[in-house]
Amino acid sequence: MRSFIGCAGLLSVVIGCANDPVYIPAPMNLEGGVDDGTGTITEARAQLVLPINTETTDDATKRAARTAALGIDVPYVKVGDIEVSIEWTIKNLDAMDGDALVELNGANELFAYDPTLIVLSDDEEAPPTPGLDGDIPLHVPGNATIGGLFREDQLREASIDLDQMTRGNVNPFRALLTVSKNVDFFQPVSAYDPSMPDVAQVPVGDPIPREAFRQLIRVDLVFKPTRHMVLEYTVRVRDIRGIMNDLLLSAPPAELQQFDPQPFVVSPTP
Amino acid sequence: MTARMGRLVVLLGVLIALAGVADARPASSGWFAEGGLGAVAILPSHADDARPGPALSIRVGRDLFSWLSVGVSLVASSHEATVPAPPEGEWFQLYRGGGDARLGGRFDRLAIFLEGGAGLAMISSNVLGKVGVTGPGENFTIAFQVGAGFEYQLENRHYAIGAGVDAFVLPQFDAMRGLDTRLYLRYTY
Repeated sequence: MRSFIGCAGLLSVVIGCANDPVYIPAPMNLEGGVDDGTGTITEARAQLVLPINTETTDDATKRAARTAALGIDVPYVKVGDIEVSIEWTIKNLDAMDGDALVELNGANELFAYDPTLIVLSDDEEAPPTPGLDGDIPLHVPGNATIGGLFREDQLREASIDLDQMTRGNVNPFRALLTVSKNVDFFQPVSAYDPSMPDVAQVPVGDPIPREAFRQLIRVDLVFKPTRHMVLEYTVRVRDIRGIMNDLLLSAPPAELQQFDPQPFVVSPTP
Repeated sequence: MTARMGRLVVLLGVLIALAGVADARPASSGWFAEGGLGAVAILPSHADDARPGPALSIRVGRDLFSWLSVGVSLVASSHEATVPAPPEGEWFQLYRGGGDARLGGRFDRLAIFLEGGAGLAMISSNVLGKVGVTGPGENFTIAFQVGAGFEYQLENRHYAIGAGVDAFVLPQFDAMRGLDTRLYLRYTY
């Protein structure tokens, strides 16, 4: 009986501690939907870099060995190392009903995704490049508050989509419209030239295995309300690998891995 | 009148002599283990930040005297955080462990006790950080608790069932206070 009780207690603690999430509140709320004086309704944008510890020498050595074995760059933060979700609320500060869009973008270790920098066609009637997720019209009654969530699987999909676009040259529309969150690999293709849309992309190089998929390490939100509204969000992270800093946004910068993702730009050749 | 009173006194004396004193129900003494189920509720000023939740507890100890025992206990409880959204509908676990002492006495089948102790507590996430319960990187606190309860000794001398209530305070968690109620089964070796 003693061993049974001991095991039950230990089991409850172990289960309870597995993958406990951490919550990163937004440093500031996003407020938009007011006239900026020129007749344009303001949008609001925010970026939140996940507080990830600097890579240990041991991790770097293992990663270098894996990169050499695969012949493919293995990132420090891979898909599956952390599971990220974003919960948000929108409060309509206006008495009138309004609509709002919440667009999810982000960055991995090397590339940042901003759809306004990706022009896939010089046709003015071509649809604009979409965000990584979201952009679903939301109706917000006057003075009301609504809530929503970007789930973990959506963030995982967004991570893989961004890697497909930036490392695999996959067309953003194709990457975003296909479900890739469970794929084991993806095949890079030749670069897409928007000025020559009829030229087919052909496979190039080796497939990228899942263990080398780059994870989003920064989440970007774009808030587009039609009325005066405020968006508040919290990023929830399950630290599977144990690389998040315990102090989160209060961590000293020296303890955090400094990433420098470059904007991913695609534009028609003049 | 005096004779009647005398007869009553004699009769009462005979009844008392016949009734005697009932023996307490036999109960083992020594090392014991308890397993309990119950609920933990967070008290003001953080009562609005977490719902009451189910709790599982174990306690192992030793009876030093008939009126004193010492032990160590571990309690795990799970709560829904009700902090201002976001986040919404998130759960956290509170683990409390430590040593305690129990003073009490037994009256036939029933025993009552007072207990108190100190130890450590751990919270599984920083979801209550939004309301100031935890600070950055803060997951542990010392814990103090006091409580009371009673036990009912079963026919088998090794087993008893009981109920207890403990109030606890977690100083590093913004002095969060709570109430732990439980039903438990005790086995004494």
